Amino acid sequence: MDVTLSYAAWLSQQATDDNTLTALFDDASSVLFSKQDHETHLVGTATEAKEPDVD
Amino acid sequence: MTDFAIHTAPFSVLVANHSNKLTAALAELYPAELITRPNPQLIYDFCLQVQRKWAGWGRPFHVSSGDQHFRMTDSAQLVPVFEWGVNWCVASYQHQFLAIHAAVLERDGKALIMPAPPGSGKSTLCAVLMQEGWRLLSDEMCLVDLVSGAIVPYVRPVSLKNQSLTLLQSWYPQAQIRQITAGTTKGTVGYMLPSKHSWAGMQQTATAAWVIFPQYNAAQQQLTLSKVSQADAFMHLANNSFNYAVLAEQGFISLSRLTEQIDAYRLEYACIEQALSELNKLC
Amino acid sequence: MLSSQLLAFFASPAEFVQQATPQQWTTFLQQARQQGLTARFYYVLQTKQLLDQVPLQVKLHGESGARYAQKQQHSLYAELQQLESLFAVADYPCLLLKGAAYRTQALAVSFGRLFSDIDILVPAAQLRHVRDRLFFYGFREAQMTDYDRDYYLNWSHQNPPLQHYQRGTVIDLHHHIYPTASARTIDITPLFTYAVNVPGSAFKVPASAHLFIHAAVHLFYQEETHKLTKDVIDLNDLLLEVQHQKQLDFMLEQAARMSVQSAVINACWILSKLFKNGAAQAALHSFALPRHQPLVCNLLLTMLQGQPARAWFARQLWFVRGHSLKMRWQVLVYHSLAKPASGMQRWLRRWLPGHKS
Repeated sequence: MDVTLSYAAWLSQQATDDNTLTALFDDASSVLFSKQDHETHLVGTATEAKEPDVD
Repeated sequence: MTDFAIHTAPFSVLVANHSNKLTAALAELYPAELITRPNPQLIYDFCLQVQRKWAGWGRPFHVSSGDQHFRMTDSAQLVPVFEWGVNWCVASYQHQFLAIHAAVLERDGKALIMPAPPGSGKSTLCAVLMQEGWRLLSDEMCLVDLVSGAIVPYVRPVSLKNQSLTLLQSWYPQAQIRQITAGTTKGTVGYMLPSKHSWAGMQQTATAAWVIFPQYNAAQQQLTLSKVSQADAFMHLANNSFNYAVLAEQGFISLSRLTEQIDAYRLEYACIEQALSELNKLC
Repeated sequence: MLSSQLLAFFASPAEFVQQATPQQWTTFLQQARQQGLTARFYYVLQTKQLLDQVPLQVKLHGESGARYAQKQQHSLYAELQQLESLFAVADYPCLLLKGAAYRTQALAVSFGRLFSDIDILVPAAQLRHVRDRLFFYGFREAQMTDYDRDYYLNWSHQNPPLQHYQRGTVIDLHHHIYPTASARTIDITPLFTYAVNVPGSAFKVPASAHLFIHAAVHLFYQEETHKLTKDVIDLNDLLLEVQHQKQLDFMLEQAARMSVQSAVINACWILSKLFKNGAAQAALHSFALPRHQPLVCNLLLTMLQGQPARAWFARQLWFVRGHSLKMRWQVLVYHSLAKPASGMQRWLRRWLPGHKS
């Protein structure tokens, strides 16, 4: 994310830009990443990625 | 004061140390050339303090990094607490690599990644594979270079716990297991020394080729090895990552690239020999 | 904690980069991590085009910190976006303060900055209303004793911290920029009067002059010392921002109007000493301000730069000073007695028959 990006500029980007990244794999499975809320989803389900506990 | 530095790649640690016991113990765990007196001509990545303080109720040693306190411990548990302290520094502060909580080993330049929660038998399997000639990159932390996508080694002594220690000793009586400490928060902990060629290759990267999700299950009659879809593997790797969430878009891109390179399997086993022979066939 | 390498770097990055020994870089990296300034130093190097002149290790740790800060930047924006609908219906001004205010405007002081909470200022009369709306949005107060709750609401300048039950975000909801228990009455109406709109958002931010005044007040009227180095580095950047926006005279005039001249002039004296800040030097020569307070300023300088033993002693004095400034002596006496008394009451209640806690 650009450090010079103000909140106002970010808000207008959210309204206009395509905010989803897709990874399509060889076995035809795929995952999505939302640039808006930074959540990762398996295509077809609603599983969300979480970080493990760090010791 | 016996200050020292540990020169493991890719991170070096400068230790302000008040314990002679720790110095002697680490000399058993790391090759002599990797532990030196602090060299003012080098920049150290992390600094840890092992201080002896009066306050502590029988746990006089304080392990900390600057004003970030990690843990207090008695002298008997200082070695595991110190090793965890180093892990804690790296896991908390480095976002130079995508870091996945996983064991990594290499053969013919190809890396086998085993992410798994405690109790899955990951460390046991990792130690066995190393004894069988695989090169160890890490038993805890799979580091993925964000630029090149290469798997970067972080060679350290292999941490083994409880039953795993006894099993390894019985299977490989010649294996060098040192500094066995009972009664830690994780039970009995000991360290298996990395093989010579693992230490020698501590700066040699590998290409991700396989991801195995191991699950030890004593009740399992027959070993099962089932293919995992790449998308599922991606999600499991993300869930097991220390900093996937921090790296956001970059994490997604990096993990997508890694996932494209690998075949992923779930391995449920009861017998280590079966697991080993299956992995030898597969990889 | 003395952070001499950090101060040296931020006072003169190019010079520091030229002269630093490997040993100094090791200390520098450690101090930067402690003060949460790793990403800050990275963006200073980037802005001043010095990245190619520092050792690779320093650059890599800087990049690493910058990635973490970028994530925080996103988290802040995403959280504010969640709150927009709540504040959009408010017919009174809602101001972002401190880090959130710097970041939303992308001021230089916010490059690589880390956040632990979002500070919001609303008029005192509306505090309860906003808090109740935040409850509706999933925010809740931590478990605390009745005494502590009363302390926050009646004697301090904010609601107890509000945390989102799922996202974990913490909001500090203020009705003043300084504890109302203090003998000093700071008139904060100008903060609302001169607040700047954020396009597309329901939030406003204080004018840069007021952001500097707030930070200066915070520095000189607090008792905490663990983030002093970061605080003076922030102040330095904020004053440069005030100058950049040609608000220096306005700032001095506002300081007088809000009766916080001593904090502002002390801050300028410190910034002039530590960073040779040009705006600070100009302010010190202004007729509009009284002289700085040498005792207070030297105490602060000793904490930042002094020998460890002297710095320790200065911190103890600073702690006592901070507390006595925050509360009138009557209030201090009340709290010294009321807190143990309230503890005793709770203890008795637990033992008395028939009481359900």
